Amino acid sequence: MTMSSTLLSGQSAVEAAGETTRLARGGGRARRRRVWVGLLFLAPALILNLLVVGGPSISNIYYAFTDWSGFGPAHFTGLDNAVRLFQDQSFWNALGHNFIYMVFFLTVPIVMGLFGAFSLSRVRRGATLFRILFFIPYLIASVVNAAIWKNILDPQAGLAVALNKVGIHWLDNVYFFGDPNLSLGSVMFVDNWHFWGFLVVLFLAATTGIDSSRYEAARIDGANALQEFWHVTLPGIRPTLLFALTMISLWSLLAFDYAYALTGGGPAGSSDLVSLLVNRTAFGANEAGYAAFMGLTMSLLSGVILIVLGLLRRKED
Amino acid sequence: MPHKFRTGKPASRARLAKAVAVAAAVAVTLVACSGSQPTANTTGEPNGSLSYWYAPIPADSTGVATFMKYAITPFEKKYPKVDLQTVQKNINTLGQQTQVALAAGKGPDLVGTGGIASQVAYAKAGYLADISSFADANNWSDTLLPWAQEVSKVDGKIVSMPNAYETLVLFYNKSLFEKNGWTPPTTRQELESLAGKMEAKGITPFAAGNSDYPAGTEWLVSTFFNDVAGPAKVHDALTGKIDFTDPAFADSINLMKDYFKKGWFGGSINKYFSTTDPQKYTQLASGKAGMYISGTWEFQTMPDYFKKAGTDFDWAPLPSLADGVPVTYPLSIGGALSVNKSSKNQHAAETYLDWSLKDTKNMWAQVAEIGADAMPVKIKESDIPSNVDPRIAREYTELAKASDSGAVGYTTWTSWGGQSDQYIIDNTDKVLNDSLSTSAYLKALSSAFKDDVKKSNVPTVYSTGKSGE
Repeated sequence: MTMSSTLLSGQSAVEAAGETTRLARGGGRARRRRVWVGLLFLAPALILNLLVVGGPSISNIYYAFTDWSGFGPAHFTGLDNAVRLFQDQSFWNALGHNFIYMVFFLTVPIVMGLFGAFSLSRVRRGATLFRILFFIPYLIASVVNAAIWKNILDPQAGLAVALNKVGIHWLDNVYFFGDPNLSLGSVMFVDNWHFWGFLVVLFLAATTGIDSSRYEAARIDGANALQEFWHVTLPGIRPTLLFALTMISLWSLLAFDYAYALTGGGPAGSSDLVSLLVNRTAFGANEAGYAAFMGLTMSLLSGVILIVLGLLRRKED
Repeated sequence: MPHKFRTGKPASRARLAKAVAVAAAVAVTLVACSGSQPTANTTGEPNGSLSYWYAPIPADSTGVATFMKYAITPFEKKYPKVDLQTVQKNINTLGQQTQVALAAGKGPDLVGTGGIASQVAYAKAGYLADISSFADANNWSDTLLPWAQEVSKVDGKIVSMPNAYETLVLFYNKSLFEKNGWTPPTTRQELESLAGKMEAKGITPFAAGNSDYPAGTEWLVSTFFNDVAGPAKVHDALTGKIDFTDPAFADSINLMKDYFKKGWFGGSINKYFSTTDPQKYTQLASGKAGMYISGTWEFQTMPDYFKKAGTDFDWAPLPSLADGVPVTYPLSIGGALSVNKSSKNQHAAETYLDWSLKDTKNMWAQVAEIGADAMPVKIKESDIPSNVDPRIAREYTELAKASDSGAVGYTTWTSWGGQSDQYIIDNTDKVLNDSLSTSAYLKALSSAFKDDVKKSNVPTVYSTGKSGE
C-alpha cells in the first residue's frame, strides 16, 4: 500500500467514518423522532389520566387531612380524621366485610372458573354456546342482575312462594337480603353469579395457549384428567391466574354496585362495604374530608396488597 | 425533489397560518356573539334565560309531563320573555350533581333540593343568593306559614323558599276499621289495645318495610321522638338545652324497639328489612295490615293500591304515646328552591320563586290531579277547590290549624343536621336487631348532633313546637 494509497485509504476511512457518523446521527434523529411520535400518541391518554386520575388523587390527599364538608373552604385538621377512623366502628365493620368479600372471591369463583374452563376445554360440541351462556351474566348491567335476583330471592314473591305452591317449605321465613346473618352472603352469591363466567372465559382463553404436546406427553405418562389439570393446565395458565388474583384483590376493596343495589349495605350495616360508607359519608353526612381519608386508607391498603403480591411473585420466580 | 422539499415547508406554514387565522376569527366571532346577548333585566318584567335542573317523579314521561304542566308552562305563559331551560336529571344523582356544579361556580339558576338540610349547607358555603330584600319587597311573610319563614333563613338571611311540605300521619285501612268497628287510636293505651285485637285476627298492626328505602326507619324515629318524648323535648334537644341522651329519647327508642320485637311493624324485624314498598301498600290495602305510619307524600301512591283492592283508606294524626304529650304533626319539608349566587339572571330566578309561591290556583290544581304536596302557605278551608281529595284537604286545614296553635313537631330529615341525620339512617336498624344498645345509639347521636351544631349545619329550629311544653 503506497503513501498516496494510504492517504487515499485514510481519506476513505475518514469519509467512511463521516458516513457512519452521519448515519449514526440520522439513526439518532430517527430514534428521537420515533420517541416523540410515540409520546405524541400517548399524550392524549396521559393528559386525560393526569386530569381524571392524577388531579383528583392529589386533591383527595389534600382533603383527607381537612374537615371539608364538600362545600366551601376546607380547614386543615392534621390527623383528626385518622384518629376518628381508628375509633369508627362503622368503618371497621365495613372493612371487615370487604376482606370477607376478598377471601370469598379469591376462592369460590376462582375454583368455579378453573373447573368451568377445564371442563369446557374438553368439550368439543357446543363449546361456543357454553362460553356464551357463562359469559352472558357478566355482560348484563349490575342493577339488572341485582333486580332479577332480588325478585327471585324475595321471600314474599319469589322462589319461596313458588316452592310453597308445590308444597315445599324450605325457604319459608328465609330472608336472604333482610336477615343480617344472610345479607352479605346473599350479595356475594349474586355478585359471584355474574362474575365467575368471566373467569371461565379468561382461563379458557389462557388454556388455549398451552402447547398441546404437553397434554399428549401427560397422557402417554398415564396422567388422568385431574393430574392433567394439576400438572399441565394450572402451571400453563399461571400468569393469567396471578393476574386474576391480583385484580380480584383490588376489586374486592372497591366493590360497590351489587351491595348498593341489593341491600344498600343493610340491614343494620350487615352488608356494608367501605365504598358504600364513603359515599354516604361524603354525600349524606356532608363529611367529604373524612370520606376522603377513608378513600386514602383504601388506596394505601390496595398499594400494600399489590406490594405483597409482587413480592410473592418475585419469590416464586 | 429538493424543489418540492423547499416549497413544501412554506406551503405547510401557510396552511398553518391560515388555520390559525380561521380559528382566531371563529373564536372572535363566538366571543362577539356571546357578548352580544342582551343583558337580563334586573327589575320589572323579567327576561333572558333561566336554567332549572329537575328530577321528575315518577321518572318517566308522565312525571316529565306533570312537571312541565305545573312548574314550567304556566310560568312561561305569564312571563313569555323568560327562556326557562329545564334539564332532566335522575333523582338519585341530582343532589350530587348540583353540589359539584355549585362548588365549581356553575349549576342551574334555580337550585332545587328535596329538603332544607342541603340548602343550609349550600348557603353556608356561599352558593346561594340572599333573597331577603326581594322576599320583603314582595311580602312573602303574608303568604308563607311562620315556621316556613323561619327555616328559609340561614344566619338571618332568607336563602330559600320551601315549596312542598308534608307531615307524618297514621294511615289506616278504613274499610277494615269500619268492618270491625275500630277507630283510629289517639293514645298509647288505645293503640296497644287495637294492635292486640288486630293480632288476634291475624292482622299485622302496621304495614312496614324498608327494603326499597333503608332510610325509611327514620320516619319511625321521628314519630316516636315526637309522640313519646314530645315536640317540646325535641325542640329543647335541637336548640341545645338538653342532650339526646335524655331519658325521654331512650324511652322513645325503646318503645319503638319493643313494638318491633312484638312484630307489630311488618310482622318481624327480618320481614321488615325484606318488605318492599309495593308489598307494604298491598298488605295495607288488602287488610293484611291495619295501619301504616308514613308521610303524606303517600297520597300520590296509595290510592292506586286501594283502588285495585276495592277498599278505602283514611288518615288520622299520630297518637300521643306518653302522658302529657300532645297530638302532634311532625313537619317535613319535601322540597325547597333557592337562587344560585352565580346566576346571571337573579331577577328572573327570584320572580320564578315569587310566582311559585303565589300562584295558589296552579298549586291546588296539582294537588287535585296527582296528590302532590302543597306549599307551606297560609290557607283557609274555603281556599281549597272542591276537586281536591277531601283527605288531602283535611290534611292541609289541620296542618294550618296546628301551625297556628303550635301543635307541630320535627322530622329528622328536616330539622337535624346532615351528620346526625345520616347517623340515624345508618344506625337505627342496628338498635332494632340488638347489634347496638339504645344508650350507645343516643350517645353517638348526641355526638353527631354536636358536630352538626359546631359546623352550623342544623337548620333554623322553628319555635311552634314549644307550645307542647
